[in-house]
Amino acid sequence: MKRFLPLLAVAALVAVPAASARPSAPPTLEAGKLIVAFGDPAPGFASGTVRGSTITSPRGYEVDLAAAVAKKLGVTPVWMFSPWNSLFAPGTKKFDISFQEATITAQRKKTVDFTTSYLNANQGVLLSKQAPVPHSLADLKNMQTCAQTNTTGLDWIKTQLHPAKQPLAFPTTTAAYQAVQINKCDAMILDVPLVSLEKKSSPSKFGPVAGQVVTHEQYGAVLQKGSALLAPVNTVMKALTADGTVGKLQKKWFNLNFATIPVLK
Amino acid sequence: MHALHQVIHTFFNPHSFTLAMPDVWAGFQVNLKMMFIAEALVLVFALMVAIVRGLPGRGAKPLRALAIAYTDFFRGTPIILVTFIVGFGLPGLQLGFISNRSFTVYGIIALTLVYTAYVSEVFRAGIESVHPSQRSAARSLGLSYGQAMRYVVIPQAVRRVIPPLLNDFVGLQKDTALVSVIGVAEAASLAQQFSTQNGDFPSYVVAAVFFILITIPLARFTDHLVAQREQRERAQAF
Repeated sequence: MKRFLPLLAVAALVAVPAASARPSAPPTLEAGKLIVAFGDPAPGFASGTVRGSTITSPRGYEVDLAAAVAKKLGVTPVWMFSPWNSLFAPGTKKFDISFQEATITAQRKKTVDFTTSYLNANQGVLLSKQAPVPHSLADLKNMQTCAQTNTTGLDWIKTQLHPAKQPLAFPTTTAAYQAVQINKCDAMILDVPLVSLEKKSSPSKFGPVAGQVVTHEQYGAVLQKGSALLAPVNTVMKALTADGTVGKLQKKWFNLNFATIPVLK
Repeated sequence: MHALHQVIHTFFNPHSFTLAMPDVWAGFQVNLKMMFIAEALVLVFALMVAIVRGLPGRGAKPLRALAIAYTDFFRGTPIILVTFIVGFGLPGLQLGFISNRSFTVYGIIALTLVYTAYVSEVFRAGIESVHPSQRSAARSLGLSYGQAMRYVVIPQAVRRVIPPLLNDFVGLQKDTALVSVIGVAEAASLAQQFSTQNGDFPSYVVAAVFFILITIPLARFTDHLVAQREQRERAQAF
């Protein structure tokens, strides 16, 4: 080991000035680029054409927000697709940051890092066209519920609602919405903004968003655990919230008053 | 050493193992139901397809072609795709008797469609392995084609293919876990849900143990049948 010490010292001397030459360059995977991953298409948040791991012309709140973050960081955003089910798996991420309407939870924080919140959400109940409207949680208990795997919605069904029938759990949001459309699932439990915007984008396929359950969830963007990018991104996100950009983008994409949805107790 | 200990803890933590047990068992009952019903249906349909495929004469050509097309199609399509198509396709057709079923039923239909194709090939191999002289002898005794098949060929064929048949059934039992893609709350899917709620993996091991516990007796039973047949055939030789 001793023999290499001078070599290391030289390497350090060379490396330090090189790194400090561009002090403001954020520590992204590829210099000058911010690789942003989106998940299952969600109208209003991020929806585009997914082919393998590429996503073309994504549109939505999260896309605009990611672009604003990249601009403030002084890098070019690059879009990609990354499936929901592997988002919280431990290990190396292929993206710098991922916006997938992910609720910040202590459990998930064990394997990934979250940015500060960019939206608050409750759980919503989306009905099939044939399902009766539930007026209470007791009504909801006796219906066939469904959700997507690894979501706070499914957690809520299993740990809080305790329905009479086992909930159907689908690997993708698309499959869960499909089950509602063909009347195999009476009530799908997923975040209020997601189900409200899905209903708004294809009103004839679903019944109403019949209610919400107050869970006070916060969406955070996901980064690799221990990412050096977390601090600069958080600084930028706070600035974007303070200067009104975040509020403006929410108004542009959602323009729905979630408070009018009845609260189920 | 620490890393190994860490892995053992995340997969075999006894506390979490016990906690996961009731959840996964509730799901495994759905797997059991699917495997038994599908196996019974597969036995009947696969034998029918194999017999149709072996029908003699030019008149039966369209029927043979149909059997071949069926086998080619369903043996070549991944079961996960068949499950999706059946599970989300049939309800959309809005046919009263078939569109009102649960996802479990669609899972059974998908498993039956795919495994009938596999097992019909096993039966066909068995039927073709019966020496042609057996059939000729039966026909020369005055048995019709159907009678020769029913009393001479099929009984010998079925006995011969029992080991590979049970091998396919082990495959079917494990593939019931794939039905989780259409939302069915079976063992593997409940194990995953438990795992995400608890942040560790013993629930997967619990599910694996259930599957192994049901396939091991089947494997031993197959061994027993093979040994029995060998003994019987040797006895006849003397």
